[in-house]
Parts: sequence; structure tokens; C-alpha cells
Amino acid sequence: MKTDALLELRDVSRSFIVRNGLFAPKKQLQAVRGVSLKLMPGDVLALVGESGCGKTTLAKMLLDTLPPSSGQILRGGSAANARNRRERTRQLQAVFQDPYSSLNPRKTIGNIVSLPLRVHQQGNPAEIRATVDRIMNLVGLPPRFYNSYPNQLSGGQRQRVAIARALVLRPEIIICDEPTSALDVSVQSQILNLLIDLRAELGLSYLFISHDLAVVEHLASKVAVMYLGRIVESGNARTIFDNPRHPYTRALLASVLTPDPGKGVPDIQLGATFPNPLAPPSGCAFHPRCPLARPECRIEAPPNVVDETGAVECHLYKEPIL
Amino acid sequence: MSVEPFVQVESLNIEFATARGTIKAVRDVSFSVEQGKTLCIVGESGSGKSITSLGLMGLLPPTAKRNATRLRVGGTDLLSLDRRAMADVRGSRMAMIFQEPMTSLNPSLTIGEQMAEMLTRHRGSSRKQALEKAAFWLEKVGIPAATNRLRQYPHHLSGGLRQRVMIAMMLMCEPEFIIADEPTTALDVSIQAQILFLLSSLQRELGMTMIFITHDLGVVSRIADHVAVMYGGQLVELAPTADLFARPQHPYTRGLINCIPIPGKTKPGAHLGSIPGSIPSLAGKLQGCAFAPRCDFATANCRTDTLALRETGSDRAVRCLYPIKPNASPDIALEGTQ
Repeated sequence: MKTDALLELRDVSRSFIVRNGLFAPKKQLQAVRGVSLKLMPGDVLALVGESGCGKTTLAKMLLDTLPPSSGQILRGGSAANARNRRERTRQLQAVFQDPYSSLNPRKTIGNIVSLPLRVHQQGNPAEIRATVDRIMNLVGLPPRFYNSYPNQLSGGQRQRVAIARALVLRPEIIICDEPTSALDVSVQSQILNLLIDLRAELGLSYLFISHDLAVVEHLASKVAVMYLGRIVESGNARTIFDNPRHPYTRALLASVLTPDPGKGVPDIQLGATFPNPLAPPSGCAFHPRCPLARPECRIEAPPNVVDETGAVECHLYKEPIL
Repeated sequence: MSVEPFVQVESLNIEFATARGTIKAVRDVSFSVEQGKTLCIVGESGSGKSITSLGLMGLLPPTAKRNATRLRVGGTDLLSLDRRAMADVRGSRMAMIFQEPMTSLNPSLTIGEQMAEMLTRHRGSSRKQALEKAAFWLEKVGIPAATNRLRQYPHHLSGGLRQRVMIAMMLMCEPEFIIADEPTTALDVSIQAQILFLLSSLQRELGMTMIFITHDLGVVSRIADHVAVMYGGQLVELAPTADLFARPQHPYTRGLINCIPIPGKTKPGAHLGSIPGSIPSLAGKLQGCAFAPRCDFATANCRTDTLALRETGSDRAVRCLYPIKPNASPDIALEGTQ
């Protein structure tokens, strides 16, 4: 099984057993249902979808904090369990949404950024210090912060610390889970610029989880749209933004409020309800909200149609469109 | 004869006495909103936009000191009302919706009880009527199986649902005036679009006047009639929405617009504009322009002169010594910075 992808998911599923109360019956919640996805070197793959669609479960599986119920996660062409965990974490690091809770308030910035190096025993104290200084400089943190604590830093500075910590082991892949949504507008642009620069300088690949589609359009080279645990459309970012095929993708794009005075708020005609993942709709999971739903959508799950522009799962596109 | 604006705020100042001196969170803020219109207050964290709205609603913490020369909403002088009278006006004639859906609902009451209270308290409805109305409004904001939801507690609901409960609750009394403080920031874009669509159609239907506080310029452009930009506790620019986006006059406003990627206009993958530096401290007296340390165009005068909000045309005002000229370079606001 060879693959040239840095990271590949093959038919990955994850379910949880939940119960609503002490005596309520147990139910199975399928958070991720048969997802196949590839992250190629140099790509910025954006994963978009509403809350509850399984983005975070997917990210957790990629980060190895949650094993998949079924399916395979391949890293650099080999199955995840073939290598030891420490080696895997060196390739893959994460930056999270909230820089206020993702940094230990009792450790200094130097301590936080150097921890991965110490865990992985990368050099002696002097070498570690030199690496940390270099990384802090790279992400635009002044050296005087080395002995500061997170509470002395602003939100943007903290997010730079989180990025420095993710970069210090020189990973190939960074998973960014809503890295800018907790930040102010002017700070958000600084962090996005930094991510753009780092990608070019270090040849990084990002898996970018976001619900800000304007940011996704700006940054991503590939997009995967997730709905109720499945990828319903994926492909090149340009293609998806110019020519969205799945009705859900179209609705998501329609709901992006770009600065356009006088245009008003669009009526995206997407019933506000996100379905209950404990009782997913029959057939196509999107059919209750779909403006184009046909009778067969209620009964049969749509096939996954792959062509050169990407993949889409919708009854409207049964045959590959060439 | 001109009609009196629905909301009139003149020289609003809000201070907090802290152990480390006085924090002047809102400095000499004046604006007005016409009946049925929407004013968006834009600014980053710490700009004073939320405190301004709390001050207007009379919901400031006890440590705060508010003074203003005029504070009128719908013909009522808010400065003359005592706490009791203010509490009656709040909820029934004016309503506020907050940013955190996690903390603004009472965790020990069911959704139905909290919602019904709005009507039993302010409209004298019976409990039964109030619960029916509550279910109606929950459906209206897109919550399915509303009657079941009424029996649930806030912890049963996700953040998005709680925020929609808050919005339903606020609309229940059909207030004349709404202050919404980032009501959709924590929600998914699809839900955000639907709630804003609902809010703007209800606003038209009921003729509500609205102050909407947000940092999302996309939202601003779609719902605002006028925009007030705040920085360092001051109003730095006031303009009709289309003018503000087409021809921002304050360097800070232009900086903010440059910071966001605009699909179709910003080149994908290119650097976005940024505003170097960080927000000013709100402690003590302000010397010169609050934005001067971060401004590309600042001169020595900007650091010393006292700046007033000056009118720069019909409906427009800016607090800047060197406002950007209308025809300086037409598209500059949409290009990345060099």
C-alpha cells in the first residue's frame, strides 16, 4: 500500500456510545462515517462544516488522541500503528483555537516552547535554548518574552507562542483548528500572514479547520466540506469556490457575509436545524434541509462521484460530469 | 420640521475606579440613531463598544461612573429614570442581547420559565399564554420541537441553540429598540446568516431600531445603515455604511478593512494588511490621538493636539487631523499593503 500523501484517511469512522440519562438506553453516535481524505505535501487542506459535523473528532483522530473505530490512517504512506507514537508526533503538530486555554499558565514561554524538544530529547540545554530563540524569532516573538508567563501576553502573542510550540520539532504537518477565530480582526490578519510565510519558508502542509470561509478561500489550496460525519464535497479550493456542486456547499458559500454594503443578508433557505447525529436522516443526510431534494434522496444514500475536479456525494451528480 | 432621532447619546463618559487608577473606558461618545435604522458599533476588544451599550442600558457594574449630557431613547430621558423605572423600560421597550449564551441564561430555570417570565413580568400575560408565545418564538428562530425545549434546562442546549433562545427571548416582547452585542459571533456561518436574516426582516416588520455591536465587518456591511468605529474608548469615525467601506476616512478604519480577506478582491495567499502595535491603555487622560502610535500618517501634532470628532460632510464625522481624502487613491482600501 503505497501512497504519496503525507496523511491519508481511508474509510475512517468513529462512533461513540452515549446515553442521555442514567437509565436511558445506550445509543450509538456516528461522529465520523467513512471519511477518505488525502493531504499532499505543500497543500493547505481546509475542512469546513457546521459545529457538530465531526471536524474535531476527525482532527483528534489525526492527532492520535482518539483511535478510529474502523478504517486506516496512513502517515507518509505507512499505517499509523506501524511506528511509535513519539515519532508520529514529530511530524504532526497542532495549533488550537483558544490561546487562553491551550497554554499552561504556570509555565514560562520558554518552558512551553521548549517542552517538545525536551520530551523528544533534542539536544542539550544550550542547543534547546538556541532552537527556541530561533523559533521565537521566526514567529515574531521578541526574546524578552522567554521568561514571561502567558497571562502577560496578548491573544495574538499567545497564538504565536502556540505556533512556535507546534513548529519547534520541525513537523511536516500542522493541524490548525480555528486558529484565528478567538482573535481580533487586526490580530487575525497578522496570524494568517504568519501562517502564509511559515508555509513558504518551511514547506509546511496545513490541515486548516475553520468556519470562516473568507479565510479559507484566502488560504486553502484544497477544500473538504463535511456534513454529519461525511465529506460531501472535496476538491481544489478554486473549483469549489467558483463552482460549488453540492447544495450544502452552495448554502455554506451563500451564507458568507462578505463586506458588500447594500447587498443585505441573503436568505439561504437552509432550515436552521442541524440534524440530530443520534438519529441521522435516512438516505442523504442533507435531504431535510436541501432545497433541491428529490424523492430518492430520502431513501438512498448518494454515491460518491469522483472526477478530475474533485468528489461530490449528491444524487444530482450520479454520473461523473466531464 | 425634522423628527427627533429615536436614540440620542451625547457626551457619554464611563469610568471605572480601580486600584491602579481610573480607567476611562468610554470617552465623550455621541451618536444618534433614527427610528427603524441600524447603527453598527465596530471596534476591537477593549475599544469600549460593549461598555457603551451597557451604559446606555443602565447595566453597568456598581464600580462604574457614567455621565452624559443627553441619553434619550424613544422620547424617554434615561438619565432621569431611577433603577426601578429603568428595569421596567428594559425588557419591555428596549432589549439587549449579549455575547455569551453560556452565561446569560439562568442555569436553574427551564427555558420555558425564563422565556415566559418576559411576558408575565412585562406584558401581564398568563403563564399559559406566555408559554405558547415562547414556543412560537422558538420555532421562529429555527428551533424545532419547541414545546419540548421549553421543559429543558440551559445545560441541555448547545451554544448555538442557547443563543437562539436568547434571541427569541429578546424578541418576545417585540421591543422598539434592541442592542445586540455580538449576538452571532459564536455561531456557525449558516446559522449566523439565518439569524441576521430573521433579525433584519423582523426589524422591518416591527419597525425596530437597533444598535448592533460587532467586529465582523462583513456583518456590518450587510445590516448597518450607519457605522460608528470605536478605538480606545472614543468614536473615531461615523459614516453611512456604503461610504465607510468605499471611502474610509480614518486610518484605523482603513486598516481594519485591509485586514480582512475579501473574496474576489484580495489575492488568495497574498499578505493581508495589518495594523502593527497593540491597543492603547485606557487609564488616565489621553494625550493627542489614541491611534497615533500605530498610525502610518501620524505627525508630531497627532501626539499632542486634542482631537475632536469633526464633521467631514453630510452624515460623516471623523476624529483625525489628517483624514484620508476621498479621492486619494480610489481602490487603496481593497489592495493589500505594500
